[in-house]
Amino acid sequence: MTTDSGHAAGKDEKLKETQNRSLIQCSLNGQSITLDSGMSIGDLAKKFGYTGKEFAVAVNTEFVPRSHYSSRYVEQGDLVDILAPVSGG
Amino acid sequence: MSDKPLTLYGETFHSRLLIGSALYPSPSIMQSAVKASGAEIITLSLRRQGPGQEAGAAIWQAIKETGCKLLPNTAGCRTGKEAINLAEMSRELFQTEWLKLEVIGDDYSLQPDPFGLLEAASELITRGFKVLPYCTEDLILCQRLRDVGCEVLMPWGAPIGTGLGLLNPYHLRMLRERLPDLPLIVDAGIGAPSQAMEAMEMGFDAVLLNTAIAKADNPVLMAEVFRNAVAGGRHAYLAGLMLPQQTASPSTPTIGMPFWHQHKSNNSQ
Repeated sequence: MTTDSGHAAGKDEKLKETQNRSLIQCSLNGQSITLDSGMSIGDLAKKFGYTGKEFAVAVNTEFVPRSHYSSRYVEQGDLVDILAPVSGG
Repeated sequence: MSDKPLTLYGETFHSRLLIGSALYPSPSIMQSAVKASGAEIITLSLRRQGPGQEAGAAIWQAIKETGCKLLPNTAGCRTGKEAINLAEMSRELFQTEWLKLEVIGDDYSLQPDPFGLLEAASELITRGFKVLPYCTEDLILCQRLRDVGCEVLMPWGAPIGTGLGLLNPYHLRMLRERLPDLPLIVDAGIGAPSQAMEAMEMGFDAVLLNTAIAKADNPVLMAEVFRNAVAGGRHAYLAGLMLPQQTASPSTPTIGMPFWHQHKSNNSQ
């Protein structure tokens, strides 16, 4: 059974955890977003709902191969582009 | 009429009309137009999209269903570096090394930047791409693009989307004459079937267009007309056009002409 003081302690810990958690600002397709630090490109794509293989990624205008999605981490100020097929002439 | 197939980077095609996938009223009309055109190669691109953008997914599905060979472009790129990165993204996603390389140097005319284009083409060929550069009809640029390894060139007829036709026929003819063995595809600016036919009559190997079909009142019918025009122009080229001349020459024989020098007034003199 949890006491009131136990609840308070839990809230304090969560608050501390949030305060200690490192956040970064970056851009996704031209829009500013805030992310937990330590997210990979793969994590980012998943978080924003990109699934399957029908997208390609560039960070700071440089192509990021799919094989690097788990090892390339998003950093403060990164400009991430996620592109998908469209019609063209 | 028998004709050799169009060969680009070692692959053969029976259609000499390449088609764009943009600007159609709907994905289904695009599919019908592509079918009516007989095209075997279709252009497409990559753009920023949110994960839930259904329109993008629908057109991509429709393009896949045409069964055409995909020719991704680098439309909108302003530098060689941008084009190279977009090309890499296209290769990974579309699983093709074929690339319609565009490096635009001027927003008003969408004229290709020859310097950025050459730089990007050279680098991409070393990376294994099969580059089809969208270029101007400048002979020296085209020779340089050939020299760095482009096996196909795509000189413009007129600025993209204008429908103005072949604005510089003199240079286009010269290009054809000076690069007789290199596949040359007139890309952009063609607005009417007669203009596509003119390009084919000049001896160009194929024509790539989009807007003239997609923005017609009846895109499917227009696609069929372009198909016939391209085939007709090709046949005319193979049949061999007569050489133009400045003076009149009667087509009916003059020998045996009745009344020749027999006017009454002449005889009475």
